[in-house]
Amino acid sequence: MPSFSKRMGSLVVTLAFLALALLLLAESYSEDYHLSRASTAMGPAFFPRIVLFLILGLGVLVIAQTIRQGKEMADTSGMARVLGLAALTVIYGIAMDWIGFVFASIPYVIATAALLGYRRWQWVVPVSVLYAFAVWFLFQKVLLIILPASPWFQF
Amino acid sequence: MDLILAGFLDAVTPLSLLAIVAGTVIGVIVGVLPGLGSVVGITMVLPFTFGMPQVPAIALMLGVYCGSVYGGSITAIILNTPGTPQAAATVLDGYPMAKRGEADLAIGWVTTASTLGGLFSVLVLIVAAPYLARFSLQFTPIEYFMLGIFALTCIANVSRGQMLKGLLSGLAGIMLATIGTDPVTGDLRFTFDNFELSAGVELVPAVVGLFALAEMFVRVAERWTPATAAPPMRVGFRMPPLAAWKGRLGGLLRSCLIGSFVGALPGTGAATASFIAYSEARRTSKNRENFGKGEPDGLIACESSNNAVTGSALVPTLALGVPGDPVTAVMLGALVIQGVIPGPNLFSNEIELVYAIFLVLILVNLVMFATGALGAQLFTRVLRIPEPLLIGLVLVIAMIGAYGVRGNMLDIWVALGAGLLGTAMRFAGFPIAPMVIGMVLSPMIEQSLRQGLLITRGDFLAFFERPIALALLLLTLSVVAWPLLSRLIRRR
Repeated sequence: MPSFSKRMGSLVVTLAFLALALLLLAESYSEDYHLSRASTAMGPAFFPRIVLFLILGLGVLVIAQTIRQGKEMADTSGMARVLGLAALTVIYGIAMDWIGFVFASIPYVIATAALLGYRRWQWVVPVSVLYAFAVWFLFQKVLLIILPASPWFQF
Repeated sequence: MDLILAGFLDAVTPLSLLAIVAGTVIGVIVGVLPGLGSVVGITMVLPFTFGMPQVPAIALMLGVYCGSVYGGSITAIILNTPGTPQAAATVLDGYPMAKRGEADLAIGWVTTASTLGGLFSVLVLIVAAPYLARFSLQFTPIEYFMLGIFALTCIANVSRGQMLKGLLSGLAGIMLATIGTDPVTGDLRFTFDNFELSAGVELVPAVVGLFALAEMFVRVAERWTPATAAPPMRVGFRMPPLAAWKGRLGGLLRSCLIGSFVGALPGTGAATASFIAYSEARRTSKNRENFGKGEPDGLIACESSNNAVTGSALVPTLALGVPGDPVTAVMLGALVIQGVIPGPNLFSNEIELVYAIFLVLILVNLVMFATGALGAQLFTRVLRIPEPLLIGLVLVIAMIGAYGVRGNMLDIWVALGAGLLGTAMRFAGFPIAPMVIGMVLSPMIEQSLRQGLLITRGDFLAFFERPIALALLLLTLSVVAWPLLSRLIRRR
């Protein structure tokens, strides 16, 4: 995993905030907002614009503060696990939509445990199956909250 | 009187009692497990509240809240690692006492002190919340606007030396909440022609992502042994003898007062209260030379103060609709989903519910005592659950929490996006709490600003002609200026 300084992380996040603020600010000056502005004294873009300008100002201050900091290196030794778990969770979200809660959750719990180094399958597999069905039953049948279903069964 | 009785009857229905017991037990387990904490605990039980009536739903969340604040102390005593940040100071005297072979007595002290602290805070809530609600009837939108700004500034200010980042995080939260339908004109904003965004970014999925998902993602970056070691000592519960309380009641009361005061302030929380009370106890205790060596006064100070936060933190939440920390912000979001609108109207129109909440909190604290007394040994067994397995199980329930609000897949994506954002922010040193508080306060700040400007015919300076608003502005300015001033004073 490549190493980077802590201030690099801070700069990246601040710049992302600034980029988003600029995008939304540009949007707030589009034709849609001019039309609605005619209806009231303070249109829908009035408050967001104040907030966006404040974000831009504060963002510049944070960048200036961050640049003054030392180049302390960040500990990236566990970053592969973080990215792996984040990727697995994104796949889990997609899978839940396609194959339903139960069929997505069982492999997700197994894969998470495997990714994080726990491979006692005699525990992981039954726990993941029981847990997925128990949660499904509790929500779907007891609390009457409909969970994403597979194309094949009601779970 | 009838209303009080009706409220109390709501709090003792079988479902409410079940929710109190289940919430408290889940809360203690969440507290015992290092790294989960109160916010993750409440986000985990949120989906269960969606299908429940109001009082049981609130009871479940309050149980988790109080139980998790207490539960962290058990781990602090037996593993020398606080289960939650609120129990960090408990380690200082809890573990030395356990090493002496008195883990059961240490658990007895913290359980009793937590219960007494919690009950004291309920008293504060019962006295202060209606008074504050009555006082807030004098508030116009102008005062609410200044109050929102004050609360947000406080929360950003306590972001451990990262005030600018805290403020930026809070503003980003405010901005996120403006996406969707304009509350005044009904126009769509920043939806980019996506119909599903017209309802805005839901608070619960965002909180699930920012706290639960980000916490789990960040957690795996740390090194840990695959299976958590079993507790190294025999644990149980031993009630401290009544005679041992002699000379300690003054310290208990002082710590309860500190916890209650700190809890009612926006931006602070149980961890802050615990450290302040501990240092105050170390300064004033007759046994100060025993601090750090297993002194009960230290345990009483930490645990009574951190649990005294629980009730008082609800004072601004219920009376003004202004959450003081992420836990009450999540609870506020859940209350709104339940159709409860906190604020002065809650105390005039739904007083039954308020009385029910008071009784629920009292019962939660009593159940917490029973739970600690009967189940301390049992709870330490959850530490044996392998963490890699636990992380997967927590993430599954967290994702359902995000989905369950509206049954909409978009909320899963919001939670995932917020989880990735929260992870990046945590690694980059940005505090998360101001973002959540910003999201919660955004509608109030925006609407009150726009209504206030209508009242003053567009004159913003007229806001400061009102005494309460001016006082809040001065408080806000002092909060912003204090770090700079204190730095200047230190240099001299």
